[in-house]
Amino acid sequence: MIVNANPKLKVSCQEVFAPIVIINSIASVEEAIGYVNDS
Amino acid sequence: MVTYDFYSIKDDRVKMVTFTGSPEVGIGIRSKAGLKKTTLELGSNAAVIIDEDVNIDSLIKRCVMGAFSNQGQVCISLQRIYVHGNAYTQFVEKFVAATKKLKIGNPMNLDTYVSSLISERETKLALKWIEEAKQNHAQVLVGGKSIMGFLNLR
Repeated sequence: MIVNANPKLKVSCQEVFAPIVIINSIASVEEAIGYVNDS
Repeated sequence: MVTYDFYSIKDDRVKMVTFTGSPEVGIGIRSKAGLKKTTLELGSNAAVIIDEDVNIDSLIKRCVMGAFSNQGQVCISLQRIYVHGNAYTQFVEKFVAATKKLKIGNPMNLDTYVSSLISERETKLALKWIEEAKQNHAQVLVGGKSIMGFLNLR
Protein backbone atom coordinates (compact mmCIF):
# COMPACT_ATOMS: atom_id res chain seq x y z
CA MET A 1 0.00 0.00 0.00
CA ILE A 2 1.62 3.18 -1.22
CA VAL A 3 0.89 6.84 -0.46
CA ASN A 4 2.00 10.03 -2.20
CA ALA A 5 2.55 8.30 -5.53
CA ASN A 6 2.81 10.81 -8.35
CA PRO A 7 0.62 10.33 -11.44
CA LYS A 8 3.52 9.48 -13.74
CA LEU A 9 4.59 6.36 -11.84
CA LYS A 10 3.84 2.96 -13.33
CA VAL A 11 1.83 2.05 -10.23
CA SER A 12 -0.31 5.13 -10.93
CA CYS A 13 -0.99 4.76 -14.62
CA GLN A 14 -0.18 1.24 -15.84
CA GLU A 15 -2.08 -1.97 -15.20
CA VAL A 16 -0.62 -3.53 -12.06
CA PHE A 17 -1.38 -7.23 -11.89
CA ALA A 18 -0.32 -7.54 -8.28
CA PRO A 19 -1.49 -6.67 -4.75
CA ILE A 20 -0.45 -3.02 -5.00
CA VAL A 21 -2.74 -0.08 -4.34
CA ILE A 22 -1.98 3.61 -4.03
CA ILE A 23 -3.91 6.01 -1.82
CA ASN A 24 -3.57 9.72 -2.50
CA SER A 25 -5.13 12.77 -0.86
CA ILE A 26 -7.23 15.11 -2.96
CA ALA A 27 -8.72 18.54 -2.36
CA SER A 28 -11.88 17.86 -4.34
CA VAL A 29 -13.67 15.16 -6.32
CA GLU A 30 -13.03 17.21 -9.46
CA GLU A 31 -9.28 16.99 -8.87
CA ALA A 32 -9.51 13.19 -8.58
CA ILE A 33 -11.56 12.92 -11.77
CA GLY A 34 -8.77 14.81 -13.49
CA TYR A 35 -6.19 12.22 -12.35
CA VAL A 36 -8.43 9.32 -13.34
CA ASN A 37 -9.06 10.68 -16.81
CA ASP A 38 -5.42 11.53 -17.31
CA SER A 39 -4.11 7.96 -17.32
CA MET B 1 -1.59 -16.22 -29.98
CA VAL B 2 -5.10 -14.93 -30.51
CA THR B 3 -6.18 -14.01 -33.97
CA TYR B 4 -9.27 -11.89 -34.37
CA ASP B 5 -9.85 -13.33 -37.81
CA PHE B 6 -11.56 -16.26 -36.15
CA TYR B 7 -14.51 -17.30 -38.25
CA SER B 8 -16.81 -17.23 -35.24
CA ILE B 9 -16.45 -13.48 -34.82
CA LYS B 10 -18.11 -12.93 -38.16
CA ASP B 11 -20.56 -15.84 -37.96
CA ASP B 12 -24.16 -14.63 -37.47
CA ARG B 13 -24.96 -17.60 -35.22
CA VAL B 14 -22.61 -16.22 -32.57
CA LYS B 15 -24.45 -13.59 -30.55
CA MET B 16 -21.71 -12.35 -28.28
CA VAL B 17 -17.93 -12.16 -28.20
CA THR B 18 -15.87 -11.62 -25.05
CA PHE B 19 -12.15 -11.00 -25.09
CA THR B 20 -9.50 -10.26 -22.46
CA GLY B 21 -6.17 -8.99 -23.75
CA SER B 22 -4.51 -6.17 -25.60
CA PRO B 23 -6.28 -3.04 -26.89
CA GLU B 24 -5.00 -3.73 -30.42
CA VAL B 25 -6.72 -7.11 -30.63
CA GLY B 26 -9.81 -5.76 -28.86
CA ILE B 27 -10.25 -2.98 -31.40
CA GLY B 28 -9.83 -5.53 -34.20
CA ILE B 29 -12.53 -7.74 -32.71
CA ARG B 30 -14.88 -4.82 -32.22
CA SER B 31 -14.48 -3.73 -35.82
CA LYS B 32 -15.33 -7.21 -37.13
CA ALA B 33 -18.08 -8.15 -34.72
CA GLY B 34 -20.80 -6.24 -36.55
CA LEU B 35 -23.99 -6.05 -34.49
CA LYS B 36 -22.87 -8.67 -31.96
CA LYS B 37 -22.54 -7.78 -28.32
CA THR B 38 -18.88 -7.46 -27.41
CA THR B 39 -17.31 -7.39 -23.96
CA LEU B 40 -13.70 -6.31 -24.00
CA GLU B 41 -11.33 -6.33 -21.02
CA LEU B 42 -8.33 -4.44 -22.31
CA GLY B 43 -6.42 -3.48 -19.21
CA SER B 44 -6.95 -0.62 -16.84
CA ASN B 45 -5.84 1.13 -13.72
CA ALA B 46 -9.11 1.14 -11.80
CA ALA B 47 -9.72 3.99 -9.38
CA VAL B 48 -12.10 4.85 -6.55
CA ILE B 49 -12.81 8.41 -5.43
CA ILE B 50 -13.90 8.93 -1.81
CA ASP B 51 -15.44 12.25 -0.83
CA GLU B 52 -15.20 13.81 2.64
CA ASP B 53 -18.73 13.20 3.89
CA VAL B 54 -18.95 9.42 3.60
CA ASN B 55 -18.88 6.65 6.20
CA ILE B 56 -15.28 5.40 5.96
CA ASP B 57 -15.92 2.18 7.89
CA SER B 58 -18.43 1.01 5.31
CA LEU B 59 -15.84 1.35 2.53
CA ILE B 60 -12.71 -0.20 4.01
CA LYS B 61 -13.66 -3.85 3.59
CA ARG B 62 -14.83 -3.32 0.02
CA CYS B 63 -11.69 -1.42 -0.95
CA VAL B 64 -9.33 -3.96 0.65
CA MET B 65 -11.15 -6.77 -1.14
CA GLY B 66 -11.07 -4.87 -4.44
CA ALA B 67 -7.35 -4.27 -4.15
CA PHE B 68 -6.13 -7.64 -2.86
CA SER B 69 -8.54 -10.38 -3.97
CA ASN B 70 -6.63 -12.94 -6.03
CA GLN B 71 -3.45 -11.03 -5.13
CA GLY B 72 -4.70 -8.13 -7.26
CA GLN B 73 -4.46 -10.29 -10.37
CA VAL B 74 -7.85 -9.28 -11.72
CA CYS B 75 -8.34 -6.89 -14.60
CA ILE B 76 -10.72 -4.75 -12.54
CA SER B 77 -8.61 -4.79 -9.39
CA LEU B 78 -8.61 -1.57 -7.44
CA GLN B 79 -5.29 0.17 -8.02
CA ARG B 80 -5.86 3.78 -7.03
CA ILE B 81 -7.85 5.34 -4.20
CA TYR B 82 -8.28 9.11 -4.11
CA VAL B 83 -9.54 10.27 -0.73
CA HIS B 84 -10.63 13.79 0.18
CA GLY B 85 -8.07 15.49 2.44
CA ASN B 86 -10.54 15.74 5.32
CA ALA B 87 -11.04 11.97 5.41
CA TYR B 88 -7.59 10.94 4.23
CA THR B 89 -5.73 10.22 7.49
CA GLN B 90 -8.62 8.23 8.91
CA PHE B 91 -9.03 6.23 5.71
CA VAL B 92 -5.31 5.40 5.43
CA GLU B 93 -5.08 4.28 9.07
CA LYS B 94 -8.07 1.98 8.74
CA PHE B 95 -7.00 0.63 5.37
CA VAL B 96 -3.53 -0.23 6.69
CA ALA B 97 -5.01 -1.93 9.77
CA ALA B 98 -7.41 -3.99 7.64
CA THR B 99 -4.65 -4.95 5.19
CA LYS B 100 -2.41 -6.18 8.03
CA LYS B 101 -5.16 -8.54 9.10
CA LEU B 102 -5.28 -10.35 5.74
CA LYS B 103 -4.08 -13.91 6.04
CA ILE B 104 -1.07 -14.61 3.85
CA GLY B 105 -0.01 -18.13 3.03
CA ASN B 106 -0.55 -21.33 1.13
CA PRO B 107 -3.30 -20.91 -1.51
CA MET B 108 -4.52 -24.43 -0.74
CA ASN B 109 -5.60 -23.36 2.74
CA LEU B 110 -9.17 -22.11 2.81
CA ASP B 111 -8.42 -19.29 5.23
CA THR B 112 -5.61 -17.85 3.07
CA TYR B 113 -6.54 -14.53 1.53
CA VAL B 114 -3.31 -13.49 -0.19
CA SER B 115 -0.74 -15.82 -1.68
CA SER B 116 2.03 -15.76 -4.29
CA LEU B 117 1.65 -14.17 -7.71
CA ILE B 118 1.29 -16.26 -10.85
CA SER B 119 5.04 -16.31 -11.54
CA GLU B 120 8.40 -15.14 -10.23
CA ARG B 121 8.62 -12.81 -13.22
CA GLU B 122 5.42 -11.00 -12.20
CA THR B 123 6.63 -10.72 -8.61
CA LYS B 124 9.90 -9.15 -9.76
CA LEU B 125 8.01 -6.73 -12.00
CA ALA B 126 5.74 -5.67 -9.14
CA LEU B 127 8.76 -5.13 -6.87
CA LYS B 128 10.42 -3.06 -9.58
CA TRP B 129 7.39 -0.79 -9.85
CA ILE B 130 7.24 -0.43 -6.06
CA GLU B 131 10.93 0.50 -6.07
CA GLU B 132 10.27 3.13 -8.76
CA ALA B 133 7.54 4.61 -6.57
CA LYS B 134 9.85 4.73 -3.53
CA GLN B 135 12.58 6.47 -5.50
CA ASN B 136 10.06 9.11 -6.51
CA HIS B 137 9.07 10.17 -2.99
CA ALA B 138 6.15 7.79 -2.50
CA GLN B 139 5.98 5.92 0.81
CA VAL B 140 5.12 2.28 1.27
CA LEU B 141 3.02 2.09 4.45
CA VAL B 142 2.42 -1.64 4.43
CA GLY B 143 3.97 -4.49 2.43
CA GLY B 144 6.24 -3.78 -0.50
CA LYS B 145 8.79 -6.50 0.20
CA SER B 146 9.26 -9.98 -1.15
CA ILE B 147 9.47 -12.76 1.39
CA MET B 148 10.08 -16.23 -0.04
CA GLY B 149 8.65 -15.13 -3.36
CA PHE B 150 5.55 -13.58 -1.84
CA LEU B 151 4.72 -9.93 -2.12
CA ASN B 152 4.24 -9.51 1.58
CA LEU B 153 1.45 -7.33 2.93
CA ARG B 154 2.85 -6.95 6.42
